[in-house]
Amino acid sequence: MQVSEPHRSFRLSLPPWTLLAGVVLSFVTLCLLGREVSRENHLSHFARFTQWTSPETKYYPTVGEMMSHVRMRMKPGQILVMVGGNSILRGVGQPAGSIWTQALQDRLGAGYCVINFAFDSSNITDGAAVVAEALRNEFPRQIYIANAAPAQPPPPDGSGTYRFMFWEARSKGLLVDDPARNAAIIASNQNPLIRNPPPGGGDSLLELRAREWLDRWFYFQDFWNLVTYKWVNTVWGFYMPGPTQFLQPRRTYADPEPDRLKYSIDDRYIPANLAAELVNVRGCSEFTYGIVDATGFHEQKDATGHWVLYAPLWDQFNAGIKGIMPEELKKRTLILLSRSSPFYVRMLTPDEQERDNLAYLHAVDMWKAGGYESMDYGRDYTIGDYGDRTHLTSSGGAKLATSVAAKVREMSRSLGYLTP
Amino acid sequence: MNRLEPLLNSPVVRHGCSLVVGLAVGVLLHYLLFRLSLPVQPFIYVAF
Amino acid sequence: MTDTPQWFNALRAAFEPASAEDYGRIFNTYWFIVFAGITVTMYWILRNARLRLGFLGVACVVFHYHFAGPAGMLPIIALGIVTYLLGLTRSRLARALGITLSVLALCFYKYLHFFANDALGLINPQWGPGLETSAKHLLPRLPLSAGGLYLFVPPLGMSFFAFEFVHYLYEVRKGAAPITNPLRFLLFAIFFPSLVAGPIKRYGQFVPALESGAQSVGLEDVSVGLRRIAMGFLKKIVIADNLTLAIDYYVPQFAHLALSARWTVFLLIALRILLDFSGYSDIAIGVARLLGIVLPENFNWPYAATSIQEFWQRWHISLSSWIRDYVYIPLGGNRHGTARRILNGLIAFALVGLWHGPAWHFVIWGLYHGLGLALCAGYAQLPGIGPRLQAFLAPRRRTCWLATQLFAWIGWLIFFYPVSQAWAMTTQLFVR
Repeated sequence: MQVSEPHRSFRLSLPPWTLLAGVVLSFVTLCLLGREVSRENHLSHFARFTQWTSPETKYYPTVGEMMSHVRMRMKPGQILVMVGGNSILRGVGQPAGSIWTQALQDRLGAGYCVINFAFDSSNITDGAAVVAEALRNEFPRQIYIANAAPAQPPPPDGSGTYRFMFWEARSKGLLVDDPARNAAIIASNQNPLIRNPPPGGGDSLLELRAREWLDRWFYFQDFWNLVTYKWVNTVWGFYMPGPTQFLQPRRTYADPEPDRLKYSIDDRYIPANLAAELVNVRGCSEFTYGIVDATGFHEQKDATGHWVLYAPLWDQFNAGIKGIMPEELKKRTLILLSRSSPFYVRMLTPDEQERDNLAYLHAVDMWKAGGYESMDYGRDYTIGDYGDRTHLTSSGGAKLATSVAAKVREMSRSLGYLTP
Repeated sequence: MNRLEPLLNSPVVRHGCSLVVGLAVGVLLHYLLFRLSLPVQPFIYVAF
Repeated sequence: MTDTPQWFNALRAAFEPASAEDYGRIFNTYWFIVFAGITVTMYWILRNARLRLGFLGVACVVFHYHFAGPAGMLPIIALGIVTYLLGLTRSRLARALGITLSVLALCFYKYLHFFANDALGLINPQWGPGLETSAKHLLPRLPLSAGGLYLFVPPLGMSFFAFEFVHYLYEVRKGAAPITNPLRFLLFAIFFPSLVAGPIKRYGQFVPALESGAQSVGLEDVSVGLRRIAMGFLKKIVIADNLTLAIDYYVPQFAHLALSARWTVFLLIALRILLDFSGYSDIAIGVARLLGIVLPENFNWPYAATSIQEFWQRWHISLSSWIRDYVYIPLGGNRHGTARRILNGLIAFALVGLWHGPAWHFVIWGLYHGLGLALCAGYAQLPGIGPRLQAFLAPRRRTCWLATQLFAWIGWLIFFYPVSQAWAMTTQLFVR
């Protein structure tokens, strides 16, 4: 059987010089445009990142666009209050208009500019930390807020999906060249699972560094993020059903966060998840107090009835938090220790409740000893203040805003931000 | 095809088309750099 | 970070094995973009053909090491050395042994589990695991990469290596001149653009193309290469990847979709595999062309074919022509009557299926095409209806096209999904 030639009605010979000139022209133009747009704010009506503007739906905000947004928001004389951390501080459970950071802004007043750059499952050293550090000279009067669980040191170069932000800023020379952090990064990346995360766990360090090295010159992330945000989204996603709906630009999506204050108790604390959630609550303080002998780990109290700290864990934690941030930035960093909902905590045994409380208090002390500011929250909150085990409703958010505002003012005073 | 021949051999058309194709290739390569920063599916035939 | 010089970090990065995730992404990694950028630039800067080929050899080793890791590379090096040396001998027996070794290596790395458990296990379930364990103890266990994969993962591109080595020794055994220069052989074996997923090269075409590219690469090559690369990425990342996400979303709810939507998904599945694989081939051919080297084409508008034979002359051409030359024709081809021709075709296509992976659905997909081909080639000889059908179809190219494509596209359901699911999806195309 003869193969018939595919339909080709004409063959046009393309002069290579002109073609190459076209390639260079358009590529260089886009690089220059990318460089320009990285300096302009395009995040409109921004209160926080939503699922439509986060890696969850394949939108990866760049450090450049976040920095530009801060520049646009900051008014002369304001103190920058940069909020990072995870979904709790992003305000999951609080609908648009009732986000805790908006309450914080109200309480702090016009002298402060509160910006919420928290992401779901992100860590202390992710996006907001990177942006605040990159803007340290432009806005030296700044306070960075993030949250953590007890005894969990964050990785020095960011975590999982968000690690690209650290490497983007670093490759563009925006971060402090801190020897302690450099050493911590090398040590952290000795772990093969951090250096080369398993599929789904984020890019390998090698890929990240190559990507950010290229982006330093070509600004592709900033340019195409702008296109995605303003004009057309180019990656299909199951989260946007409909064969062509995915093409909608990101700016057209509303903040979809529901108001968990309107949820029933069973919807907030799903009965079927009770056992798993109790495991999580116990996990916050598990292994923080006790000893290890030949038979394994045992929780232990001393003769006076005081819990015995499990030293190896805390030593590792203390060592871990040393290199995650340059020394000069630690004192303007407020680490919030996010307690679990009393709905679950009250189900623990009295011993477990005591251990849980002590672990949070000890973690606050350890962060402070490490040079950071720290406070815990949630012990006196009601079940209604939580939308689930960890996330706050707007009533819980309002309480958090009140206590954080007081702390921010106190820090501003002690850091000398308020002196004329 | 024959009627198109003189048009396709015109230097202006050839250079013009070449420039347009070049511009498109440049845009695509820049987009490629961006697209690789988002999750990418493995090539099906690499598994074989 | 700052304590070691930048050039050292760059060199170390070049030799760092890829992560498990990057293993399947190959061209779609930043590492590759940087690597290809440096390799092509250096190749162009060097003006001497020998230096160019020498440099290209080093680049191919770096590429292979990065994506395959040491344990993925070692078996290929061993097999390559044996193939090269056997090619230089004058013994036909030794060359036949070399061919056998390549086939055994392919079977060992890729099909051991399948043969032991899925094939032998059907006879006696006890035999499979025992055979697999014993066979695996024959070789040392080496870590492949930090991702924790081990030697028993088939070395990257194993099927392609084995086919190229078999082709080489077969042709040399038939009397063709072997490659004497080890660098040329190395480049034939691990030429980076086609290393992972082809096109499967023929050394008689590749080596002259290599020489000619190193001597006379020009701007026209760069222009054509860039266009091919851009086309490949357009097919893969702009279209095929989006289609994959959409297909993964819609296939689980296939039965609940409207009939028109089912047909759309069905067409998208066919489009996706074409764009994904031909996109890969375009990038491979384009990157080689940037070096002035012309690789064989792998696709020629397969969805324009009007018969199954034509489909296979247009789809994965380098594989189908390999199977034709080294399986179908040596088995006797169509030289021994209709029954043998059909049998040979079925064997060849079962192997085409099995080549895609150690699973029954691939074998069934191959046999499905083998049967289709037999039917297509022989329906005219069917008593009674044959000549009338032929007379009906001969002037109706659109009908032939539709029948051919429907056949091939239903085949993709067998290719991608378990047979029962493929059957269910096929019937759901015709039932509301």
